[in-house]
Amino acid sequence: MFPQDKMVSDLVEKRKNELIELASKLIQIPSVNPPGDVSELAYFIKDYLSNYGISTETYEPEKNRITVIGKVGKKNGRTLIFNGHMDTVPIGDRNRWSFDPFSGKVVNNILYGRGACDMKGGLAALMFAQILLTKFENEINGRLLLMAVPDEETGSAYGTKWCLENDIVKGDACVLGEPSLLKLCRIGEKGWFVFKMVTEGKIAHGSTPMLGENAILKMLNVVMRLQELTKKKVKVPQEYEEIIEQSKNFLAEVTGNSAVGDVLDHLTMNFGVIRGGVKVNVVPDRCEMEVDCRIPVGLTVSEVLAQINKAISDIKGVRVEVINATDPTVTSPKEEIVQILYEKASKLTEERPILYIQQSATDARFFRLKGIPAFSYGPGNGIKYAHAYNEQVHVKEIINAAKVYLATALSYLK
Amino acid sequence: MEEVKKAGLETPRINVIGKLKSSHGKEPVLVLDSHTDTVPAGSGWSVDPFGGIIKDGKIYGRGASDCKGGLASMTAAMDALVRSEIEFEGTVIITATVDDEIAGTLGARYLLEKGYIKPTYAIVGEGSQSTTEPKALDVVTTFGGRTWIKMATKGKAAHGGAPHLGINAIDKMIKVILAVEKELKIKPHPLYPGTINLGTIRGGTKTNVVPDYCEATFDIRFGPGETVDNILNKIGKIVEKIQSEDPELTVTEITPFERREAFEVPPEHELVKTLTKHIVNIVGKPPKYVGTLGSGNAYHYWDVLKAPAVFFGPGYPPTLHKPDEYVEIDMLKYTTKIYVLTALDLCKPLM
Repeated sequence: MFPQDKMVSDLVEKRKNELIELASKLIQIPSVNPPGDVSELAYFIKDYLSNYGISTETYEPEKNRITVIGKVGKKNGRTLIFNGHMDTVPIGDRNRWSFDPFSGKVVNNILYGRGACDMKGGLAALMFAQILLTKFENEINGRLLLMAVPDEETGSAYGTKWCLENDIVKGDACVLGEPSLLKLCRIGEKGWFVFKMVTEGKIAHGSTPMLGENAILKMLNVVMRLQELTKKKVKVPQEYEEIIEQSKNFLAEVTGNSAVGDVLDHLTMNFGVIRGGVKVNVVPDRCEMEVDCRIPVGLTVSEVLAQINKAISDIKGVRVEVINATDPTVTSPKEEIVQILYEKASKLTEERPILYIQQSATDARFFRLKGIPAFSYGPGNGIKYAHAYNEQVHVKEIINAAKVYLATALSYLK
Repeated sequence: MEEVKKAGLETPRINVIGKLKSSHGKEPVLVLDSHTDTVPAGSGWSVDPFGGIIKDGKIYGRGASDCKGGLASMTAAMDALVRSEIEFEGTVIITATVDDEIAGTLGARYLLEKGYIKPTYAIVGEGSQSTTEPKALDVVTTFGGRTWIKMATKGKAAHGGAPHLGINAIDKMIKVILAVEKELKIKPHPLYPGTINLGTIRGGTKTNVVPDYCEATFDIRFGPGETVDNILNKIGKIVEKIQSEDPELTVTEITPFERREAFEVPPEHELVKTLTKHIVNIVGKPPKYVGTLGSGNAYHYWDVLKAPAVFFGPGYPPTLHKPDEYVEIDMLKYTTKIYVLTALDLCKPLM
């Protein structure tokens, strides 16, 4: 271990109780979304950082959707961004929790509560790393921005997305503290294409269906064509082939289901909502279906749209309406920030991280779309505990995460 | 009014029953039934829909054919029977009933279920003027059946980005629909091909969640020889088969929420034979025995008491529910005479 890494490790170890108390406190201040009001937590974080002499700013583009930005360092060099979201998903059925979801209790080194894993544990570690970085303020070049953001669980319109689109935050690299078991560097994610299919037919009385044209039956035909598109394996760019392979293996291992890995190199389509017809005894002249399609690295939204249009080209009276779309994004593993964190993680924890491309969306995509290399690395088993009952995280992961974040910042800003 | 409210209706419903005083109240009981309600006038009329205008041998207006023409003929026939002072061993009844147009239960069905009338057979005055020959009358002796079936599938919710981890109830419903459309064979009848209409589908609540529920409704039409239970059995077998091929496919519901059996009154039945005899006498041409998709009030006689019932009335079916609805005066005259003669023939006059 480099002397500096040893020093970082000791520094965090010495104050680990303070760190875990912070994580626990973050859980005790509810910030469930919906409704998504994070004001109490945001002002707690602002005050907490200020107490350590960190200058902070807040932004509130929509009532109670507050972003807190803490700044350490100088403007004269590179800017590293730490990003963590404050909001959590709702608790669901309280009876299915075996403990108070807002107690933030630690039992046998496990921290329990809504947000423990996704991602108040990670946020506490990011905050703590920034606080400890203040000790080195005179030794670093550039600065570290910590973004504590709202609204991640519901699309980020007033959180990360808003901050980047309005140039509130600019930077050269970003680390997000989303849970990855400290095992994964989540460098890429699938794209997202939400669309609606509409079929039109001809109305007739239900007793004479031969005189009409049934829009629902037409939709079934459309669905079968779309299903065909999800069966093809997507050609992955060579640079990411190996990463996709190891990501698939990891997914298969954690879920115990080898088919699950296929989502990483296949289009998936969830036929989420279907509505057709008005009355049982009328031939339906309209049917609508909403589809949530996820696009693997190697394909783009416009390519998928072209495939869909081609697949249904011979069916009359059907159209596609785009609701929402984002291309897949990926940060190259060759980026300096990835390399630094990878190295620090390998040294400070017992794990060499796995470079990983994931199926679900995170705020990382907004940075990547702005050309800022970004990836997630953080404490917690997100596959098991994110959005789940009895959410929890091991305190050791939070402590190790803080070490890796601090060491990474020191190295990137040296 | 209590029953009216229970049926979800507001305005009072009044059925009228007229019994020939000179009937001795024994069997057979012949009911002449016409409904008093009409569909709304709608637009596109060239005459006042409520003017009852007489022009070129026709009476125009909403209800002329459906079914006030029939009601007028039946009333005139009763009047003639009263004036004749003929006594009957059997019974002749006229009913003017409500709610036919909304397929309600407070009209003929109510009278039957409450036991106010106990017919041996019934003539329902729905229009049966021939659509193929001028100045001729047919008899509707065959009535199609229908059943409306709701089916539901159950899945397992999961995140939309990982559809493999859930079971999509919409996908499963699609399998069910395709199997039903392909494999459900409805027994054909010369007048009814047997049809299936997939009327509605509803599934899922959010695009990014694998839907755990989907439901669809079917409108199935069939002719005599097929029954609702038989159709349900066949659907049950189809579902069983696809469930055995796909363990993740779960159909939670196959519920008929409307059932009307098909039925026919055979040409050799006394009622049809007697009507035919008098149609030949009065019109000069034998009737055709035809079928209809809906069964109107005839269904209630058959369903509640298994009493044979036919449609025979002066109205002209192609004008039903349309603007410029009319009835031919000649048909009114014919049917009045035929009702009288048929009652005289069937109800054992004591002369």
